[in-house]
Amino acid sequence: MEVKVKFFATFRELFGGEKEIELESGSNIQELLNLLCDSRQRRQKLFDRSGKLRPYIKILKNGRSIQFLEGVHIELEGKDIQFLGGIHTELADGDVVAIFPPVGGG
Amino acid sequence: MLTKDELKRYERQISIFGEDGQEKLKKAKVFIAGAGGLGSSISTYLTVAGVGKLRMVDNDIVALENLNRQVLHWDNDIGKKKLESAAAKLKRMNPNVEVEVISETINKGNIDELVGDFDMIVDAMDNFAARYVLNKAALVKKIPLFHGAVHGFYGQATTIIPGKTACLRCIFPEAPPPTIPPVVGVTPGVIGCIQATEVIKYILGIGGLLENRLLMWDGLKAEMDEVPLEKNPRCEDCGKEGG
Repeated sequence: MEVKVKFFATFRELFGGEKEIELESGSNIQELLNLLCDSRQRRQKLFDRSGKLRPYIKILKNGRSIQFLEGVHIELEGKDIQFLGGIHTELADGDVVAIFPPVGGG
Repeated sequence: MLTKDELKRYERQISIFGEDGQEKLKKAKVFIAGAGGLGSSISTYLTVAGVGKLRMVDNDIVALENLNRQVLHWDNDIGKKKLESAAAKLKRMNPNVEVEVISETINKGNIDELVGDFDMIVDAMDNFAARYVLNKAALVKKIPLFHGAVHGFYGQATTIIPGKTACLRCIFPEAPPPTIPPVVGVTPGVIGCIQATEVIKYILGIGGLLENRLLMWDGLKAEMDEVPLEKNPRCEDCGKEGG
């Protein structure tokens, strides 16, 4: 299957503007991000050292923030984990994924 | 009532929204947080449009490296308080507008008093910590927040209406790490003008606002995109009281 990925703001410099990505059917956002982060520099922009997606990065699938997709509110080892489902959101052929960091200057 | 000077001064926009619209602008009180790059373009265009009262808050001193983008401050202002410099220019642009300046650093302890009874907040800050303070104040006072931010040739803007749209915390639950971003002066020019346009339309009650829409400007490619936004029902800032 193929998904379209759109980068905005400063991610455009690192990833380019728009890409068509071929994925195995049933892949999720995490797998897409792994594929996109094909260099150390790209990986560092998206993930922290422990491999967690940096929390300020916005990702939308077909116009909906993944934090709201399959999002569940759970408790893990006594800690409240929000929207754990987000990055595990499944993708389908033709999906459009937008990825960007907020810009902060004034 | 509009004066003779005002009727003439605003002739070309009164032909769009009438004397009633101009009166609405004259009665409006707009709080602008920041007198840097975004603050320069926002305050300039709101001043010439005839917004009645502007209150600007900033605590910086004009420095040489500000001058590539903060167009309210000029070479001979280096070393002056940004607000003195800003107020002097804005008053000369349009003496009908009341420009009030407060030299303070915005924080959660003073924001309620700083905003006072003003009708809306315009975000011209350069960091997310301060933006979250503005977001909270807008939610508590139930007044709109016009968000804008820039980096290099990139910019973003959205209009937050408490109770109706996603708040800044819904959109960006966590702040990006603080940086000193590169900025080309034209970018806060573009984004500040978009924010000022939103303010004017909000006051007049015309057109469509950037509600639940994040506008993304790419000056390098000359492309404008839009990302849909939605409220986070579990938002720590607006989830309970925002409705």
